[in-house]
Amino acid sequence: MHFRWVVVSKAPRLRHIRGVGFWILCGLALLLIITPAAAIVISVLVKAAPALKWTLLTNTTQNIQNPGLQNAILGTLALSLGVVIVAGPIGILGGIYLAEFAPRRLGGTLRFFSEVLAGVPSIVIGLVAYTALVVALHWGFSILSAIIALSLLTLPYIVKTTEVSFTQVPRSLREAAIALGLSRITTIRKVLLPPALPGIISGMVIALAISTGETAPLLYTASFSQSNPTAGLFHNPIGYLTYVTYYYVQLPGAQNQALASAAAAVTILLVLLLIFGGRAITARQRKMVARLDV
Amino acid sequence: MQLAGTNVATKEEVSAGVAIEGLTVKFRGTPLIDGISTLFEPNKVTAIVGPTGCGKTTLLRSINRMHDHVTGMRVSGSVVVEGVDIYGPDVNVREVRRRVGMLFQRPNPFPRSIVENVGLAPRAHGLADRGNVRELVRENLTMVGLWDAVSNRLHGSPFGLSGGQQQLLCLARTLALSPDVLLLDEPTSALDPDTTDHIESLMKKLSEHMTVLIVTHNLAQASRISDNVLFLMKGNVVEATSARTFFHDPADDRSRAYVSGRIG
Repeated sequence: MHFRWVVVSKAPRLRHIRGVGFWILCGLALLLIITPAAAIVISVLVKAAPALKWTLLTNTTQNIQNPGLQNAILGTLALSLGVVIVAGPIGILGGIYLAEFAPRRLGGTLRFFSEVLAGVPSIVIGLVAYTALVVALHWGFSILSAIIALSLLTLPYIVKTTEVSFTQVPRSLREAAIALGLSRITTIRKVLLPPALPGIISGMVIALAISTGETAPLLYTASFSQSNPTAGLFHNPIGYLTYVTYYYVQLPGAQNQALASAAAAVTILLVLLLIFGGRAITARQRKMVARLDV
Repeated sequence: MQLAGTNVATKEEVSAGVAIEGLTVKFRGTPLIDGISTLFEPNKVTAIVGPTGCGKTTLLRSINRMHDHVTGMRVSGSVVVEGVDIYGPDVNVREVRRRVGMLFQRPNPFPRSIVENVGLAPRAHGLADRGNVRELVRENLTMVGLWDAVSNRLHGSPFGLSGGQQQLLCLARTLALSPDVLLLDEPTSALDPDTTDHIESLMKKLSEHMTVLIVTHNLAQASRISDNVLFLMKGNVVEATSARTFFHDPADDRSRAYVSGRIG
């Protein structure tokens, strides 16, 4: 029998070689991703090794004999918490508004501005926050100015991921909710939110990872403090990890160099904790969503 | 809810059921349903049949105002449910949907626990409170014959159930609102024969106290379960009659052709 319309490769061996070649390319690409990531983590850890002691957590950078990172770690955590409190609700509600309520034209305009905001370099946001909040409003270098700068920076990510998470919920679920006469609010809270939640939390994690790793807008707004954060929102500089990495590496002395690397290592660790924490929180819901009939 | 003035006469004729008068549904100007008037008898199963694209589903979805949420859809005419024109002014749309339940082609349980799937809407409509919602859930799951299968996993995910069980769960979810009218949009086309049998016999039982409308492509199913048949073509009613007449002695040649499989 002769099937003319079946294309049979003239050289099966060539096909095999192509297949193997493809896998080799994939492997190389994977290596290209893994190698720099591993190299960064290892080199940071090696350089930080002399400074990796428990006193890192118990002393502040102020301690000259045995400097630690307590003030910077607490400051970074405080700033992240601030971002969760300020940018979290605004971003999530904004995303829900865009996905569920916004009229077409208004939605397009809002989306456009959100994308513009996402494209503004962080140092420009820092500068604007400096002129507007630190100087014009007389807030001084303060935790609140810093939180607002970071919130502006991360807001577009939270809005976008929330909106996408909601629009990706299968239409069949919305129809079921409509057919049961559920109100829009009930539909959002009880039907759409659970499947959208993993996406929203991923957005929050990205936002927190960005704010943990940002330096530029904080230089203008938080300045830096050698001592632990205190309660005042205004005229109250605050320490953070990336500043230690940025500044201490410029100082002479092996101790300072090691401290800079230790701050970098702790920053990486915090970001990793965020990512795995986020995944752990949403694991159960993710499993349920995976079974949704799209 | 306010009665529609023009339909008071209709209201006197039928105390219940669904009366459709001059219903036109257009999508971006193209009529999908073209001025239909018909009556769905209460406590009967009416099968809505016809070739693909004839407007069966469009008609069904206009009976609980599902078109409200689709941009480009325009509905005119009246749909009187239990004496109330659901397109009339001051109609509470959520209450319309409470009274007119709908089951879809494919099971679409909420990504919440089984008990929440059934209990959510009655709680939202104030038909049950925290104290008695459990009882309502049990009643409705029992009614659809799912209770024994799920009673030990009420707080588990509905996605562990088979497709047929998921559809029964969706039916229980709809019945939990005690609707007067039940709309079924090819509810068994994605299901196994056993569950299909089960749902068909449930429909018979349910029609004892509600008006049941089923859209189906399956003529054998229509002849098994329906009391009446509405045969549509191109957005118009070809024949509305009893199932016996439709399948054995239809008045219209097109009905005859459809029943015998020459068109469809």
